[in-house]
Amino acid sequence: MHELLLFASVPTHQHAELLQQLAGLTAMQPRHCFERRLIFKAYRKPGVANARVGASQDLQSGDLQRVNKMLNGGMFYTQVVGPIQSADFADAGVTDAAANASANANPNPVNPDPDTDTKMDGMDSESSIPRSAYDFDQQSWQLEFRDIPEAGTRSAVTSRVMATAALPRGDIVPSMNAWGYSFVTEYLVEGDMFIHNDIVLNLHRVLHYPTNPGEENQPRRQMPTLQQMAPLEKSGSYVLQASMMVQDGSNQETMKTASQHLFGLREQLKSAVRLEMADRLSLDTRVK
Amino acid sequence: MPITGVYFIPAHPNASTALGNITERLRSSFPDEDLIQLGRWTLEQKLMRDTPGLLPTSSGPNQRPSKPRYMQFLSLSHYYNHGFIYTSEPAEKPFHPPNAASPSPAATPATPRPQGAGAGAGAGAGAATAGSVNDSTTSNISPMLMTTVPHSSYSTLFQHFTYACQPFWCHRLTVVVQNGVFYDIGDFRVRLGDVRQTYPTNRVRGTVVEIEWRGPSVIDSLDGAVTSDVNEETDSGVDVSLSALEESDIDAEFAATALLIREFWGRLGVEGAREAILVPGVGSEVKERLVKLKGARNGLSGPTEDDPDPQAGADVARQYLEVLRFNR
Amino acid sequence: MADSFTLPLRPNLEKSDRPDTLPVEIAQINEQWGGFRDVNEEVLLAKLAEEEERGGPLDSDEDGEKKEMDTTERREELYKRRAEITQFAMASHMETMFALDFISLLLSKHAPRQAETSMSAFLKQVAPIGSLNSEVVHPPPKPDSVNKDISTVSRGWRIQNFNSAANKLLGAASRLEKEVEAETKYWNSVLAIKDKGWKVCRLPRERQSLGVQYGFMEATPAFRDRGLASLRRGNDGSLVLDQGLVPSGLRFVRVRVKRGSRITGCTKPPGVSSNDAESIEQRILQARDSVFEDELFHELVREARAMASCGVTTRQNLIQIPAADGLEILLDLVDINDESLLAEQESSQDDVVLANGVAHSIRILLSFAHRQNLHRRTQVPLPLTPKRRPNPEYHLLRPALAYLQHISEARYLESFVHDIVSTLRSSGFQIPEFTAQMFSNWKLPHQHSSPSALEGLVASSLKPIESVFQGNLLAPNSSFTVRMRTNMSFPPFGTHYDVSFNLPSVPDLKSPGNLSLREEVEAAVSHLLLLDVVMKIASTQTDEEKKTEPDTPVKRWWDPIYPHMGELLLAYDHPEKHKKLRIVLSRDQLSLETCLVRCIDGIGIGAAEGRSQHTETKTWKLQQSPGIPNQQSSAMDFVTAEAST
Repeated sequence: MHELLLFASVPTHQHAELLQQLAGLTAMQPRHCFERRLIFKAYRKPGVANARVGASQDLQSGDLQRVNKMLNGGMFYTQVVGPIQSADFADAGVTDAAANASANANPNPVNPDPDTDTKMDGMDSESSIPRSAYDFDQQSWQLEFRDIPEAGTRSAVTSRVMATAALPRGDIVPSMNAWGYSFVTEYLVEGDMFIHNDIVLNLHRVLHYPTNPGEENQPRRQMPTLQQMAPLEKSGSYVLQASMMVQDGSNQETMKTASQHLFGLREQLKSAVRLEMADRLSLDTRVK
Repeated sequence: MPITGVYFIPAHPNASTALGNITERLRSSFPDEDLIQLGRWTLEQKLMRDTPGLLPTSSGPNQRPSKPRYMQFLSLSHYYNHGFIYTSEPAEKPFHPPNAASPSPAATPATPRPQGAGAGAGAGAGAATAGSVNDSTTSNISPMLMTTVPHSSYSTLFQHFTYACQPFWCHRLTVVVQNGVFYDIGDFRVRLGDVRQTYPTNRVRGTVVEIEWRGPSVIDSLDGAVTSDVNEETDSGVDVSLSALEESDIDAEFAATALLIREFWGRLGVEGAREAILVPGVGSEVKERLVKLKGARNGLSGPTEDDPDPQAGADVARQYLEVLRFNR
Repeated sequence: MADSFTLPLRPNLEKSDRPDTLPVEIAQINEQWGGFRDVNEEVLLAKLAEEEERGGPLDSDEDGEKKEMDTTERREELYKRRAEITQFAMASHMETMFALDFISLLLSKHAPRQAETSMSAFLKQVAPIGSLNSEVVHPPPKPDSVNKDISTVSRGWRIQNFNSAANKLLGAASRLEKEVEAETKYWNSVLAIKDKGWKVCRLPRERQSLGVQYGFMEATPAFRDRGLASLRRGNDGSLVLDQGLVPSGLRFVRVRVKRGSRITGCTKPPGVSSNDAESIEQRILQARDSVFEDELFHELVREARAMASCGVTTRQNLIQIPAADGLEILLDLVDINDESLLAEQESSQDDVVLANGVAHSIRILLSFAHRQNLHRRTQVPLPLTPKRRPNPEYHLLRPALAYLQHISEARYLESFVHDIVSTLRSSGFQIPEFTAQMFSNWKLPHQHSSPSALEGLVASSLKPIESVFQGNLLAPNSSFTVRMRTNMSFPPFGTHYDVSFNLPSVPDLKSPGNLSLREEVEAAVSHLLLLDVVMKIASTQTDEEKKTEPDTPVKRWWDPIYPHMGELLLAYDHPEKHKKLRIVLSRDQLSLETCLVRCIDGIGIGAAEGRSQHTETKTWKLQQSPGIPNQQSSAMDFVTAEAST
C-alpha cells in the first residue's frame, strides 16, 4: 500500500481557528485522539552482515548472491501504535465508579477479592503511581511500517510505501523481539482527526513522557498525567498532515487521482495554511 | 481449547500420498462408525528462516555454528479469526531485556520444557505401540514463541517481513493443504489432508492428520469459567473444582489425552509418521488462563470485537508447525 | 439628523445682471403675438395643451412599437446598436490616431526622436520628419460686444452644465437612498433567517451571492447539492429564494394500502401551515420538505428495483409492494395540491393508520440512513482503489415489509394456536393457555432521549424480527415453542419458523427444525397436540389407578399403538374384540372414533386393519355451535366410557 502526504506547520495561535475551519470544511466534529507510539528498531547480530565468502558447496552461486543481496538490504525503524483515551491518563478522573467503589471498599488493594472484581480490574495496585483506569494488558496495538519517501518523484506530494497490521493486545515487546525488532523509545501523539472524502487530516503534535529512571527500557505500563507530558516542539505548535492511502502504488492512474485530491485540498486550504510535501530525508526510517 | 495431536506422513516427491491408505484404515479400524465427510478444511504455512543462517558455514574453530532461527506463519480454516506466527526466541536479548515479571508470553516457553520431556517419557509406551517416531523436538532449535494476530494482519505482516526485513528473514517455502476433509469418529474429530509445497517449487510433501479429542476434559471447564466464575463440574465425572486445579493437573490432562490420541493413531497402524502432541509450549495458554482465573485478573486475551478468543488453536498450531518445519 | 449640513449643488443664479429686462420682453411679446390684446391665460393654456398633445402621442407610439417588437427584432436592434457603438468607437479611434499623428509630426520638428515613437508607420513613410512647423499667430483684437457675447454664452453653458451635474448628483443620491433602504430590508431578512438557525453561506459557484443551506448534508450528492438555494434581492429589497431550475411544486410520497382491488387507506398530504404561507421561512421549509420527499422517492425506487425478487414492481412513478395476505402497499410521488387526490375513497381506520405508519417509518429510516452516512463518512477511509465502491440501497422498504409480513404471519399463527387450544378446551382437556411474545427482540432503550439510544432503536428494527409463541402441554413438564423470524434485509428472505418442544412421553420424537411455510408449522403444532392428547389419554389410567385400591383387578386401558396416527388400542382377550380408538385433531375439530378390529399386530393400518364384520363404530365429535355450549360430555368421558364397555 502507498501513502500520499502533505504537511503544514501550524503555530499555536492559529490552532483553534484552524480547528474550526477544518470542522467547517469537512462538516464533522474533530475527533480528539491520543496515540502511544513505540519505536522499534530492526536489529541484527553484529558481524554477520559481512558475508563470509568462502566455500559454497551447499548453496548454488546464484542463491548465494541472492542471500548476500538480502543481507545487505535495508533495515527499518517501525512503530507500534496504540490508541488510548483521555481517561487513561492518571488523574484524568477515573470515571469508572465501580472501580473507585471497590477500591474504597477494599482497604488492601494488593490482594483484591476475586469474586468482587472479576470483570474489569483496571487498576494496578502500585499505590505510589496516580491511579487511572488504564489497563496495559488490554491495550490494542498496530504495527505501522513506513518506508522512506520515494525519491525523484515529479509530483509535489510525499509518497511512500506503508503497511499497517493489527497486533495482539497487551505486552507486544516479546513478539517484536522475536521478530527481529528491539524497543527504542516511545512518545505520545495528541491531536484531532478529520475526514475529508478520502483524505485523513491530522492536526497533531508530539508529546514527550516525563523521564523516570528505569522506565525507558520498555513501554510504560501506566500513563502519567497529561499535564506532565511536554510537547516536543517547545512553542507548542502543531503539524497538519493530510494523508491518503492507495491500495496499489504501481497503478499510476490512482496515484494521480490521489495526488489530485490532495492538491484540491491544498487549494481549498490555501488561505489558511500552506500544505506542502515534506523533506524526504526528514522522514527517513532506515536503520543506519 | 481442545487437546489435539498431529501426525505427518512424508511422501516422495512423485509418489502418491498416504491419504487414501489412511482413509481406508479409518474405515476398516472403526467399522461401527459411519465415516461421513463433515466438511473441508485448509491450511497454509509459510516458513521463513534467518537470512544469515543461510550462508555456508565456514566452520572456523572460533565460530560456533549458530542455531537456525525460524518464523512460521500458519493459517487454519478452523481458526479463521486469526493467524499464527511461531518465531524462534532471540538468542540474545537485543538491548533491553524486557521485564518478564508480568504474565507475558515471554515467560511461557520456559515452563513447558521440562514438562514436554517428562510427558514424552511418560507416554513412551503409547508411542511405541503406535509405531510412530517420538516428539520431533530437536535440540538444535531455540525455543519458539507463539503469537496470534488478527486475520487481517496475517498477510500484511508476512509482506512486511519479506519487504522490510530481508537482512534477517528470508522466505524459504510455502506449503498448503487445500482440500482437507474431516470426520467425526467417536469422541475424536480427524482432519486429513495432503500437504503440497507451492513455493519455491510445486511438489508433494506428504499427508497430515490432526486428531482432536472432543470428549470431556478438564480444559473445557476452564473455558466455561472464563465467562462465569462458577466452578463447574465436568461431565466426565472428574470432580474438579477450579481452585483445586493446578498446573500439574493440566499437564496430567494433556498427557492422558495424548495417550488416548496415540492409542487412536495406533489402531490405524500407519507406519513412518512424525508425531507432534506434547510439543514444547503446548498448553501454555491454558495455564495462563488458569493463572488468570485464580488471580481473578483480566489477562492478555480478552475477547476483541471480531474474535471471541484470540488465542484459540495455539496448541494445534504449534503441533502443525513442529511437524511441518521442513529443513530448507 | 440635526447636524447634517446641506450642500447646495445648483448654481446660484443672480437675477441682477439678467439681460432680459422688461422692455426686451415686451418687445418679444409684441413680436411673437402681435400685441397684448389677445394674450390671456386661457389662450396660453390652450396653446400649451395643444403642444403637449402633439408631443405626447408621438412618445406613446414609440413605446408601443417597442413593446410590440419580438425577440428577433430586439436582437436585430441589439446587433444594430452594437454595430453603431463599435463604429463610433472605431471612428473616434481613427480621429484620435490622426490627432496623435498630427501632433507627433508637429513636434518632430523640435524633438524628433521622442515624436518618432508616437508616429504611425504610414505617416513616417509619407511625410519626412520635421516637415511641419507651427508659429504663434496673434489674432486681431475682438470688439467688446463679441467679447461680451462670448462670456455670456460661456456663462450659460457653465450654468447648464452645473445644473445637469446637480441633477445627476441628486438623482444618484435619491437612488442611493432607495438602494440603502432595499439593502437594509434584504439584510434584515437574511439575518432573520440566520437567527432562525438556517445555515447562510456564500454560494460556491457564485461567490458574490448568498445562499441558504436547508438540505441534508448526508444525502446522496445529487440531493445534497439541491439543498442550497440562493437568497436573491428583489427590486424593492424583498428576499427571493432562488432554487434555480428545480420545480417549485410541493410534492410528497403518498402511501396507499390496497386490499384486493380496493384502496382502503391513504396518507394525507402534509398540511401547509396556514398563516403567512408565503413567508421566506415557510418557503425554505417547503423547499427542504420537497427535497427530502424527492430523495425519499428516489431511494425508494432504487430499493424497490433491488427488491424485484420479492415481487415489488416499479413503474414511472409508482411502487407496488405485495405485503401479505392480499395486502398491497402503493407508493407514489404526487403533487401536494393535486385536487384529484381528495377524491374520497372508502377507507378503513386501521388501514389509514397502517398507511401512516409506513409513511412515517420510511421517513424515519431515511433520516437514519443519513445518520449512518455521517458515521461512515467520518471513519478512516479505505485505501483508494481503481474500482468504484458500490453504493448500496438504503433499507427503507425492507423493514416495513418485514414488519407487515411478520405481523401477518404472527397473527395467523396466534389465531391458529388459539383456535386449536380452544378446540381442545371445549373438548374437556385442561390445556394451559399459551403465551405469545410479539416482537420479542425489540426492546425500548432505557434512556429515550440520547441520540445513540434512538439510533440503536432504529437499528434494531433493521434486524430480523422475532416473535415467540410458547405453551405448556397436557403432559407434565412438556411444552412447545414456536420461534418465528422474519428477515427482509439479507438472505434467506421471508419468515422462518423454529418449532421446538419438550415432550418426554414420546421419547423418539425429533424436532422438525426450521420451517418456512405456515402450513408446515400448522401441521407440526397440530401433530404435536395430537400426540399430547394421545399420551394424555394413555396416561390417564395410571392416574386413576393410584386412586383405586391396589387389590382391584387391573382395568383395561387404551394403549397408544400408533401415536403418530392418533390411534390407541384397547386390547381384549378375545382377538375379535380389540377396540380401536382413532383421534383426529384439526384446527376446529376434534373427533374420536372407536371400532372393533381383529388384527393388532401393528402392521395393519387403515384398510388392512381388518375390522370385524359387525362393525360397531362409535364417534364423538366436538359440537362447535356458538349457541349451545358443550352440550355433550367431554371427550375424556367418552374415552373412559368406551374403555369400560
